[in-house]
Amino acid sequence: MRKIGKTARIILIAIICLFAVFPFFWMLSTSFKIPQEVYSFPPKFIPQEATLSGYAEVRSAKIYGKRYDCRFRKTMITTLQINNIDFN
Amino acid sequence: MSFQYWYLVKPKPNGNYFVGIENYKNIISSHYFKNSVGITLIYIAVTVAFRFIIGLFAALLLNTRFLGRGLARALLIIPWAVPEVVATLVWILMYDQKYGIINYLLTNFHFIGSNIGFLIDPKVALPAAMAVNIWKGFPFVAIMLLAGLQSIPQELYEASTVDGANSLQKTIKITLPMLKPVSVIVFLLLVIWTIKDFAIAYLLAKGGPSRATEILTIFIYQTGFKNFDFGEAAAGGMIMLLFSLLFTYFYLKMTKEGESV
Repeated sequence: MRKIGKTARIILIAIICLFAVFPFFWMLSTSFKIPQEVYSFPPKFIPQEATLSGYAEVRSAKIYGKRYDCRFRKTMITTLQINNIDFN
Repeated sequence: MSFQYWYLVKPKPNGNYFVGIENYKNIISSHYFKNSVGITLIYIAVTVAFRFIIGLFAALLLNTRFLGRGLARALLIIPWAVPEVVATLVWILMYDQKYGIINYLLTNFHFIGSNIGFLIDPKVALPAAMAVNIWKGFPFVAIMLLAGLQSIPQELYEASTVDGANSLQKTIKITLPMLKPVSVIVFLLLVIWTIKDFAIAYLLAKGGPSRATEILTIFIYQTGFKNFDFGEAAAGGMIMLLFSLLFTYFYLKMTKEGESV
């Protein structure tokens, strides 16, 4: 009886965790796919031709005239600054 | 502003003059406003209830000892840590009618016969938006309730074991009553946050298909920035503010009570 209860509990936790993680996993998996594979049928959980080109592209992509990594750096600095002021 | 004429599409020669409660009358008699209030109420009721129940279950389960508990706790926080916009974009990809993973899984396991257009069918769009909200919100409940669970003194359980209570009795008679103060606060916070919720529903379908997911915030946004009737939008905002003030009042009352105990 105890054993069954424990197994059921672990299965329930696994289901909840799967529900929580799946969209994140899907985002991660999609980020490594080549564009043709993003909209392929049937969808693939693991990209067949894994590529990092998505990451390279987004780094040099321009958002409102500025590069992504500039934006990223600025966001980080601003966040740190705001938090510094808050904590003091 | 909510008492003034601010309909920018039809500017009047005397500018933004005082109209009294005209804006409020217009908005309350508007069919779309009623529609969006109804949708908001359903949205709040369903998402808060589900977030709470799933969060409670997760907290109760995570409070027990098992292998990989730390990992499970870390994994559970992920939805809460992902920014709203990013999360919604991923869900849009997953909801896709032809290539979406959810449709693929559902048809593969024969839950549904043909693909569902989650964000295209007015009947399914609202539950779809709710699902994203529940997914995004339940870790917060789980973490808060987990903290509440850990503050329950262990002696109570020991005493009940001596008295011969089984684990179900323990849960109902000790855990749930002891969790009550935390749950009330979490519940009120959830309601307040859900009233002002905007990003998920807006990004998913922009209030769309045929206003099926048009919650109050989206309705106000559309009135202001699509129809350019800022007076009416301001009136709607004031009405919404009243709702959230009501719950904020309860929230403040509850937290004060907690302090005095």
